[in-house]
Amino acid sequence: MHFFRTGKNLFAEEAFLLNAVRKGESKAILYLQDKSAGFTHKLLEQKKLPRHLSGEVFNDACIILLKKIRAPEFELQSAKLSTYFLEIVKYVVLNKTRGRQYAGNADIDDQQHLQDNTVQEYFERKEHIELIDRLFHNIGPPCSDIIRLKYLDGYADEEVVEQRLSAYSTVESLRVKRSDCMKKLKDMVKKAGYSMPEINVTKK
Amino acid sequence: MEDHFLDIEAYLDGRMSDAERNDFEIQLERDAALRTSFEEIRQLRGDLAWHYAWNDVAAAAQMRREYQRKRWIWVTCLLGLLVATLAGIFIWWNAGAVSTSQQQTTPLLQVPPATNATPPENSKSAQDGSRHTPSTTLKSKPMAGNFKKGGTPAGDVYRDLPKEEVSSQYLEMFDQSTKDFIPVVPESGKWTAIVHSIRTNHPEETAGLLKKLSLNKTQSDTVAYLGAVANLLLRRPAVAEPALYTLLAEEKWKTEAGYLLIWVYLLRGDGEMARSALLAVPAEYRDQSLISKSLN
Repeated sequence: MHFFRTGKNLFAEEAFLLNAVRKGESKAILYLQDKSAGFTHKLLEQKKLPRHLSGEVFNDACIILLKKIRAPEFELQSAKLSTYFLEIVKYVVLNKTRGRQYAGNADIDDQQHLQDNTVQEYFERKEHIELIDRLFHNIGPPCSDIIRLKYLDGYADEEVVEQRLSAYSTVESLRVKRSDCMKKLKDMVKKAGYSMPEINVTKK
Repeated sequence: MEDHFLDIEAYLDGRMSDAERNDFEIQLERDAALRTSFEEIRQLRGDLAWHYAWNDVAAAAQMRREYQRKRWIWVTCLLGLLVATLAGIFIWWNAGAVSTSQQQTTPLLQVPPATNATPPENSKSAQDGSRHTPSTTLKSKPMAGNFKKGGTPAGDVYRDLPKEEVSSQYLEMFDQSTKDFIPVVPESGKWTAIVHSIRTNHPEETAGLLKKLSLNKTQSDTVAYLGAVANLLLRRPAVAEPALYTLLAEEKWKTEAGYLLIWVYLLRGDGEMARSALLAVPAEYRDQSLISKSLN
């Protein structure tokens, strides 16, 4: 299953790999998955989980990794991205064991590497994320493009206007359109029957 | 929503000045509707981040599936190619064997009439049996009656062979011609008794005598010839035929084997083949003219 080990030379440089994964390049993601395949299989065996779960573990771990490394405050403290990824894999596997009422969950409390609750949040909101994913595919252009430019590609509104990345010629018109799009998306979520989580105001 | 959204977005993006941020936070504490909108937008932004991560991983998974599918197709194609190649080699190998055996049979029908009317017993080489080219086909294609096996001489010739149907049309002519059949092998040396048994029309005895011979390789053609003659006299054309085809490839035996093949075809009642075989035998050879007349 190690199809993308061939990318060993391509992704040898850590910064390059991080950048490629951050951009969501499929080859980089698969390379990272393949690199940690051996470890994951051993871990699944150790936790007495079926081997076929590895695909699901990889996908969950990669989603969490992408979410984390795309956050503005992200800083890779450990030397390697693959090491960081393995930490996430551990968390995901432990979560699976909890899902299967496995007794050895004490380990999860010992993990100090991931300082926030991203993994937990992911599993709690997995269903909602799937819903958003479906709805976002329905929203279509130009909303999908405008939202993507800001929230995925990380362009400032000024850059979008200057580089003419959208049809909007002023920053204000772009923001107003995005506001409409977000409202549309929010309404679609509500219409789909999903209630937003309880309001818990936290100041930034 | 629009007004709120722009303010909330500016706040979350950090685009507000300190004073603006303070004002917004005070407003946020006082206004419940704003608080709701704020939380919803914050949540939606978080969900979008998850959505994009989800999408990218799904694309990677799709790529893996595509890769696996392509690899599966390639492996299947390669396996198919391998099987086809092996099958091709197998067919070619078998076809080669068939064409080799066909090459041995075709000269009878294609070669122009032989000019050498001299039977082998009169030629110099025929008198020296030890100068024959060794024929190995005798080993792979045993003569009918299997002379090597035990039992009565007649039993050896008939062993395991069904009785052959012969054509009544030419049978009388055949009996007439073979009544005083003189084999081309001289009645001398170790062949004396065998040739005599043929001349006196005792083919069962011929088979028994042939079985008792201790053969060397150079004599196998002569044995094949005498065996074929015996089989013809026993009215076993199908049994005699393979040995005659083998002999047909030998220059020394070509004419005589061609002549005997005519009888093989006649006993089978195949006049067309007999006519073709006649072309390979010189006009003055043995009963060629008689047969030709009879056929025409």
